[in-house]
Amino acid sequence: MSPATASRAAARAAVLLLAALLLVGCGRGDEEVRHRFMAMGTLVDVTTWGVPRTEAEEGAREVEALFLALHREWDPWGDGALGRVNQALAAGEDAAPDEDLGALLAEAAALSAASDGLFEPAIATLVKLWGFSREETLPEAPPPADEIAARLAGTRPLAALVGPGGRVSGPPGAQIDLGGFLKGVAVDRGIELLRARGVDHAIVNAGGDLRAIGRRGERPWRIGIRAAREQSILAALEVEGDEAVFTSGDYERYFVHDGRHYHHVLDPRSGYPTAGIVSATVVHRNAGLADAAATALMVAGPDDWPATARALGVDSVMIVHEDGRIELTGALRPRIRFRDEAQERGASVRPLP
Amino acid sequence: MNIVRPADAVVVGVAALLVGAAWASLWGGGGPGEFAQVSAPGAPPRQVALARDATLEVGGRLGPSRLEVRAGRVRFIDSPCVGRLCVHTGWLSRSGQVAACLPNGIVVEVTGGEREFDAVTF
Repeated sequence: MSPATASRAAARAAVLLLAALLLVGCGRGDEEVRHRFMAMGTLVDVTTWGVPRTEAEEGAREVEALFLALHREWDPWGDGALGRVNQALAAGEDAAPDEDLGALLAEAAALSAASDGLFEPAIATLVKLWGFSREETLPEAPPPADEIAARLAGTRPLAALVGPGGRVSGPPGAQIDLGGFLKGVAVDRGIELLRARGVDHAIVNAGGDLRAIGRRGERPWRIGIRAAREQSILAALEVEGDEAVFTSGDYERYFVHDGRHYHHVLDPRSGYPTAGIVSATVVHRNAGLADAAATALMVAGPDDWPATARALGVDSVMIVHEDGRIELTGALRPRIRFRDEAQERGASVRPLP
Repeated sequence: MNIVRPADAVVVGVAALLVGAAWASLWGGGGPGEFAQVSAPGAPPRQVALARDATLEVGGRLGPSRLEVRAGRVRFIDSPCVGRLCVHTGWLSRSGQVAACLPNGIVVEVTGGEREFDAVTF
């Protein structure tokens, strides 16, 4: 073989090797892995990017175990940590929650106080009366007005129940339901768990409420915002780095009675479902806060949501009103792309106070 | 003498095209979804082509759920759960769309084609 032929053969081999490496590069490590499970009454998706499949699935299964454990511990009517606090209160006794639940209740109490009671976890008996506390069934009719009033009169704000050292005391009618906060906390902990395992690019999505970290390879994560009461997509948002996107809507759990729509987000002031806002989407680094804020904004209603957003320290908000109007904060507006041209033009910016 | 001759350039070009084509076929997409992936308790997920209209029955924890495939879409038409949120969800057609009957343990997801979003908030 002449030197020229040999070097040509070497060049060809190098080209083939390069092509093979490119193909290998497509397939290894930078793939997306999804794991789905049911927990907390919803479907949870754990998506990772750039992690070998076996490691990704191991991490996702740990997140699954975490969600199932938190659901057990924080079920208001079960035998877990929160269930025991509620049982003690109902029996007229003080409760001393463990450190983890104590910290969580203190955090929830602070959010309740900051939102002026619009996010209020101490209304578990009201939620139960309406029939929204069971995941697998829906009520058929609203409860009698006098019973709603009695449930409200029988409880006190969470901040008034949680005392120094985390002790919880209050009237027997004060029962705590951390729905509207727990999903966010669980998502935060799921992300922390993945990070501790060295996963830098992931989404934990609990039934449409999610936190995303890192990015999807060459591009940010793409998040769709679903149109209320429909399967279609209203708008798109890109997320990279570390952000949670939480939406509270009146179409998630509801029933219709005598032609009226009754949904699961209850106004702690009236005891009835909120009115005026169809959905509130909050983007914030902290999923627990985003969760509580989305609920509080629904309760605050069309006129007062900006003041509540300010009070809770969230600046990226999108509100869909019952009359179809869409309002966004100035911080979120440039990041949202609507599907519909008319909505893109019509969505207005509402400044925070 | 040149190490790379014109014919080599052709080989390199073809190799590059092959890599590009492999990339496109592996990572690109075909618009709307092509399959429904149906998951039920205690059984491996099942792929159902959306190209052929059909009605199918899937066994769940409470009993059978019924699905309908028509004109490239899929939906729940009946389920033994109470709230029947799965039936209210309606038609799914785009890749990544999901409907679930949680009490019955049945999940339907449209797959194939290009998934536009990594996650959807609602």
